[in-house]
Amino acid sequence: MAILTAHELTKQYTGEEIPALNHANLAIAAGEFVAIVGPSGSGKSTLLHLLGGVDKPTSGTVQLYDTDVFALNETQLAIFRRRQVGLIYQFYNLLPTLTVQENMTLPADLDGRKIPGAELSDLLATLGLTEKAGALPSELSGGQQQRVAIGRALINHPAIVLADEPTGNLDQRNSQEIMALLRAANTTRGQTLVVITHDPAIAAQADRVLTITDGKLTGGGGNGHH
Amino acid sequence: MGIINRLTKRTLQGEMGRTLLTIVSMGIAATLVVATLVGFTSSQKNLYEYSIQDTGGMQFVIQDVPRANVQKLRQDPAVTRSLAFSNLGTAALPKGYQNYVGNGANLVGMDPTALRQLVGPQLVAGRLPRTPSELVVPSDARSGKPIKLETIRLTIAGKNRSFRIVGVINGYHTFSSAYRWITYNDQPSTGTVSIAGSFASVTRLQQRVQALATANGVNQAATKISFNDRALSWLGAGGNLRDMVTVSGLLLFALIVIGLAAGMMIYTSINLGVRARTQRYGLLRSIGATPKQVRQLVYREALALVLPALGLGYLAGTGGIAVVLELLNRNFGNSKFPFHLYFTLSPWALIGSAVFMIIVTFLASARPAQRAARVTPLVAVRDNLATPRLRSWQMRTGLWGRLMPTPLSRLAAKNYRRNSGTRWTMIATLSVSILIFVGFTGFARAVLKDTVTDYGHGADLYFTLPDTPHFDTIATAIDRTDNVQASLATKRYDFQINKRPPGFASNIVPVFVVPDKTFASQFNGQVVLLNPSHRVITKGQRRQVWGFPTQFSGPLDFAELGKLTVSKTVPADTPLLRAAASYNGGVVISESILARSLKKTKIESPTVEYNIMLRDTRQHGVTFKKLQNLMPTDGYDVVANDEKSMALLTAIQVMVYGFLALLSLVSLANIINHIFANLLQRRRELAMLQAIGTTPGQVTRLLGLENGRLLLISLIWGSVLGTLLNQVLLKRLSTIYEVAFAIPWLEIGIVVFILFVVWAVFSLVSYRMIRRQNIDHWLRLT
Repeated sequence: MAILTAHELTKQYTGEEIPALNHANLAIAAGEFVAIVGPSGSGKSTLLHLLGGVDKPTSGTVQLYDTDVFALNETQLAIFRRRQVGLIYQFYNLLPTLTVQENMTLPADLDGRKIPGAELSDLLATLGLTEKAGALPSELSGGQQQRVAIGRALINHPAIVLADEPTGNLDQRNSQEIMALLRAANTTRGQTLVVITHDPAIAAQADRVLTITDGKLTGGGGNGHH
Repeated sequence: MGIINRLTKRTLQGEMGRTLLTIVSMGIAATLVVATLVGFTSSQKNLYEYSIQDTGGMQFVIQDVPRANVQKLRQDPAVTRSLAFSNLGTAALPKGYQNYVGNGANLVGMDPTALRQLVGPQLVAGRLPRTPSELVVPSDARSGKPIKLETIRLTIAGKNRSFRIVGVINGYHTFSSAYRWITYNDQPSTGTVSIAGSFASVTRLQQRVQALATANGVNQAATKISFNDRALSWLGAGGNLRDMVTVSGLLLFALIVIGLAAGMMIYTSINLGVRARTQRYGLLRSIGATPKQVRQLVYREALALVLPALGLGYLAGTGGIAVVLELLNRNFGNSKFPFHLYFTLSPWALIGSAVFMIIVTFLASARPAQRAARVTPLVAVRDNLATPRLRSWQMRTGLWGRLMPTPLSRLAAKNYRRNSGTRWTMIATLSVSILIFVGFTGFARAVLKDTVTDYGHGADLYFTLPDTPHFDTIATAIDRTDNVQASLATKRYDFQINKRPPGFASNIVPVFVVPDKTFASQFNGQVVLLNPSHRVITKGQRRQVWGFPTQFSGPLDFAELGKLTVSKTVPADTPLLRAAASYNGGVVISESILARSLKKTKIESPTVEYNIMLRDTRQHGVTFKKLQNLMPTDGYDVVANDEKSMALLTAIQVMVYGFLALLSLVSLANIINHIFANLLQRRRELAMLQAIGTTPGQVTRLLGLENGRLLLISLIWGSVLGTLLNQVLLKRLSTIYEVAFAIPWLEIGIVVFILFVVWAVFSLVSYRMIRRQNIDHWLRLT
């Protein structure tokens, strides 16, 4: 059963002749691991941001369960992102003034929810960050920072985790570790996962691979032009 | 601690340099607020204490209190101090005497304490009565003519009583209707009693005193009570609404100016912080922070900054005022003038400062908070989205860009043109800071400069007497008194001339008659025209005008004296001549000439004046007392009055300049904050320039050109608008006070100097920073 569906999703930036995303249709089932591949500038990140409610489409809809994401107001959309979406960026985007643990629990804190100690310890241990819980991002390696970002994305048990080139800034060993973690979340926790990648090896691990070229999505599994 | 508080704390700790700079800047603003409110309450207290001295520390007088209720009224818990005096009845006055204030000449009897406290401060001539047959009369008892210290008969309740006039009280003093005709009396009263009193709290004073009077049997109490309104109005408790409005309006105006300066400074600090953290807000938004939470984050950051700033403000503001008052008191102590400034630390001033600063901070943070809340989550991942959209005119090379000779300066012009959002915010805040400094400092300087006397200094002491046959004997005795350097005795008559020569404003020309000896020694035995000058302001410009034509000589045909030939016109430009000439000036003749020329036998008696210069002005009090024995009438110690005025003027000047200095510091902090925060914000851009081969020197020059242009434009706007503000304020004031407008070049010069120093320091600091910065570190940051 699809938990996330995108219908006729189009994004046209002002001043650009070609739409960044052109009538994309997509359906993602619960627990699915989807990889989105495509050349640079093809509209991968645009699609991901639209799916996560980070950006707004020119036309089209995104539905998570029964919720029309873009019918929500600003506050509702923020709460939607906080509870239903986990975002992972290529450049980690951690808050430099917060510790590892604080960065990870930030979405829960914003929600006024306290993460039980055991749950947090488990997550830190899973991510291999137990020893670094009190460290600042500047004291971590790139791989460790990305693990913190994964922890932050998973902390609220979101419906879907969206990762934009999560290994793009990492060496091969770290890339493998990060993907192993994401894969584990997908298999053991049933976490729905959408990953944008250039790496064929990562795409190969996915249940389904979607290709996007010049804003046109193929293999989306929904209705429309695919 | 909630996540918002934790984020706030960490953010501020993480940017300690910027945080401290902002706290110090806000601390200066808080100091200004605290100093203004504490200074205001202290000034209120000081002006109250100063004015209440006129009535011996008493706030009110209740007349016609039944004798049986006097003790009860005086022992009322609200009454902290009181004095009682007896009403001895309405007196019928002898010929030549009149009573101008109140219903009939009510004679009152006071004991020595009441006389000393209530009459002493208002005594303008003579002394206090020491026996029941001595009397003090109001100064207007003879229609403005000098009071003779003579014996008069008053008829009270049908009985005649003789009194010797020993003193004169100011006829228009604060409690005037309550006591004008005063004698000595230490016996219990048989009639009604008047009670002068004071309450500890002045809240609803008018109503409470009226209720007290009514409760103690005073009929029509509202008409029987007089207040020292002048003193009470300083505390906002006077009956005169206009005074209260003026005092409150002054405070409100000062607070608006401070609020504007402090608000802009806080706005700048918070706004630059928000701009620098835009990507962070985007990240928070992308992981689910609501706009409200982001707004709260900004507000809490501002609050976290204002609290330590307030602490600084309390310390510096109260400490500064206390030190200034102490220094002023020491200065007053040296001048032997019994004037003391009290330091008043009212809790309301402290609470008010905190409330004011917090409100200003919230208002100033509102727009940056809104801006932060509007940051889209996409900003977290796409740094280039933060780049403002450029309009087509911004893409064109402007005039400045075309005029620039080098690629670097052309780049600076391009940067300047394309950075319009930040640029206009900076220009607006800098211009307003400069406007405030130039406008208000220039205004204060013009006003304080114009408080210097219009006519120059006159005599050190002067005495006014009724006409006396001992005119020249007294003059000789004055000259022989210790410490008298010179004196000039004059009898002044106002005579009419039959034909007015050109340049004479009136047909009435004063004639100053001097003793023959003085006429020979000081005027070479020649009839002269004593010509006074004074300053007038026309079309905003100050100029000196003379009372008579400056070169006049020739005959003047007086109706009472016949023809007098003026040999020359003498400018009244020495202290004695200036004092003698007074405002109008006139013809100087000797007693013999008057006696020879006088056509009529009966002329109105003149006013006799003795103007005296002292060798040692510090001994003015002793000499004044000695001369009072010689002339126990209306005397005036000009030196004492000048000391008093100078003390007040010094206090006002110190307070005003202190206020302006702090205001200027706030403006300066704003400028520094603005420029340096902008530099920090552009570090990545500068690193990029360095990465492509721009040297630190070139980058510094680029920044210097951009900032120099920004400061120049702000300087022009701020100076022009500040000058206009200065002119408007002076024009408003000129309707009630003679002040002239002049372009405030001094203030503009100070601003130019300060901006140059800031620019030079900025160039130096930015050069050092750019030379040392790790380019790779900044380029890797997203």
